[in-house]
Amino acid sequence: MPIDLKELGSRLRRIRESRSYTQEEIAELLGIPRSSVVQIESGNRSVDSLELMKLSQELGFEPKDLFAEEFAEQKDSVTALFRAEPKVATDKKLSQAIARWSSLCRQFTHLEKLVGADRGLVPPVRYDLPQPRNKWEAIHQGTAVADQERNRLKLGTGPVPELPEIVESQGVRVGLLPLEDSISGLFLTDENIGLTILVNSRHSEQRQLFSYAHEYCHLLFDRQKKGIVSRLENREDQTEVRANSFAAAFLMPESGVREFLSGVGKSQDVPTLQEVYDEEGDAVRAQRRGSSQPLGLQFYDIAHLAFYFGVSYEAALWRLKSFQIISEEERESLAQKQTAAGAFRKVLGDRFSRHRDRFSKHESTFQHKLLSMALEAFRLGEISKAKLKEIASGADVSNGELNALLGGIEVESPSVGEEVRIPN
Amino acid sequence: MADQSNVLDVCTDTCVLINLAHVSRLDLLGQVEDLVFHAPQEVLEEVSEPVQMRKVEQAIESGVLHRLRIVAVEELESMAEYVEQFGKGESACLAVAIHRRWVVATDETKDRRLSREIASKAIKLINTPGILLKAIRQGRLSVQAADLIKAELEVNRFKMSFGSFQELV
Repeated sequence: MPIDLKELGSRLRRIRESRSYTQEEIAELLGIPRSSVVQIESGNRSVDSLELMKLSQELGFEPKDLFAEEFAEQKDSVTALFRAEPKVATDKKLSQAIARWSSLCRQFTHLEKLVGADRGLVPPVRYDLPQPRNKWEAIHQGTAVADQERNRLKLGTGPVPELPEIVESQGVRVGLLPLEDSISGLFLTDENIGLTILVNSRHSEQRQLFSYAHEYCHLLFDRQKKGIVSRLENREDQTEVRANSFAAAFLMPESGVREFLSGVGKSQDVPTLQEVYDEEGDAVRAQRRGSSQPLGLQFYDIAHLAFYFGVSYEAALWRLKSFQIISEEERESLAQKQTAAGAFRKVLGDRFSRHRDRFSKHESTFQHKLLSMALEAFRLGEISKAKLKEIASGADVSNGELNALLGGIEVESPSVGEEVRIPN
Repeated sequence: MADQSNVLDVCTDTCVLINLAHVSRLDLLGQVEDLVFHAPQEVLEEVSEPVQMRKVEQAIESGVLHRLRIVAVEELESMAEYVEQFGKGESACLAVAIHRRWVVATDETKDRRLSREIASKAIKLINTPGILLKAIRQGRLSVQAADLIKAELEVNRFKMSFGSFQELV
């Protein structure tokens, strides 16, 4: 049975409240008096189509869900996230960014279904481990799963600068958005938007890579939560500790770090004694002279290591300390040389940047995929040209550029002109 | 004067407005006797070129085009379904057409998705050449003037499948 005006108003009120918007804020958003919002919500005045589309975009809900027989706003990940993190909902800039991102992902999911790209898509694995009871367990879980994931993905021991692509190739929507400084990223999922990860584009490239790994961990462990915002102030939470531990271990595996150090002549001189059994009942012993020099890691070694793995100087220092390659005293001393380390990194970056191009390209990869999917949906006759134009405009493609693209898609005969249509 | 019972309401999509604005002949919308043209707000928002926007505003002020606000729940519901596969302007036109049995004015009749929907819902159509032909038949426009409009639109990539309106009258 179709809903009436009163029910429509009531549903709009429930969505507004779930997003922590006041009636005044909605009035301002729509450019109408607050009394009109009151009337809409009480069913005495209908929302118009323009207002409805604006609300769906800014508050992040699917317009057609409003008219469903059973209205279940709690199924939606944005609502779940805002409920779990009221602070996010009250931050209008952040909540609108999340709403817009979820709209984009919803559109992507819809196009995926239209062109059949959802068939055969295997979602990333999920680790159903019990919630860690303490930080020690959290660190252990994060590290163990990072090793497993590296093995599963056949990543070896080297750097993974292409992590966003690795995550994306598993059907996850990955994006960059300018978020407030204390937020490194967020994870959001429901059946309409799929699995999504957002990372703060205002942070440095190294921090972004760490955040991708951190959010990827949430996706592997915490999918039941529907949404998690990773904030600096939550870093003591066990799920955050686990995600940080995962990110560090995933980006800088111990064996890879040791191989790197060995390659630059800074490995610990072990083993010093080798014995080979020779089936004659004896063993051949070979002894190497032990290095009398300490490891002697310098700031440039750490900067080089950090650059190689695409992580920050500080992250590399902490990782070396966790392997007991450096002491706390050495970590502190090296941390004070951050300026010099930064200068060295700049030299490496300027001359041998492997990451920069990838990052600037990656910023828009999701939109590129969205546009390709939309072109395919148009070619198959699943969406109209006007819808394609809307999607293209969202991906900053001009009408001229789109027309050039459409020239290559054979959906109609260019030789036949418009016929005359008149209603009978 | 047209018999009011024969007057058809038309929900106009963006392409028709842009075509007529391009040749500065939006006035024709008011000259075709048995049709009353309406444009949903979504369509008006899709006219983004400032000069064309001004011309469309003038057409509304002079009463040849009527601004349409969609508020009926069943129309909103249809529109909410349509926006997943159609542009917002098209979605508004389709929603109004199926619930009010109005005619849709569009030049996107070769769009596969749109033509499929129009055919499956038996929606009546008119396009820019159709509006010009009606104006000729009602003595509001000469064949020569219509052919000049045709030539101007064809420069703007809107091709028509016939040589002259003379072949059709």
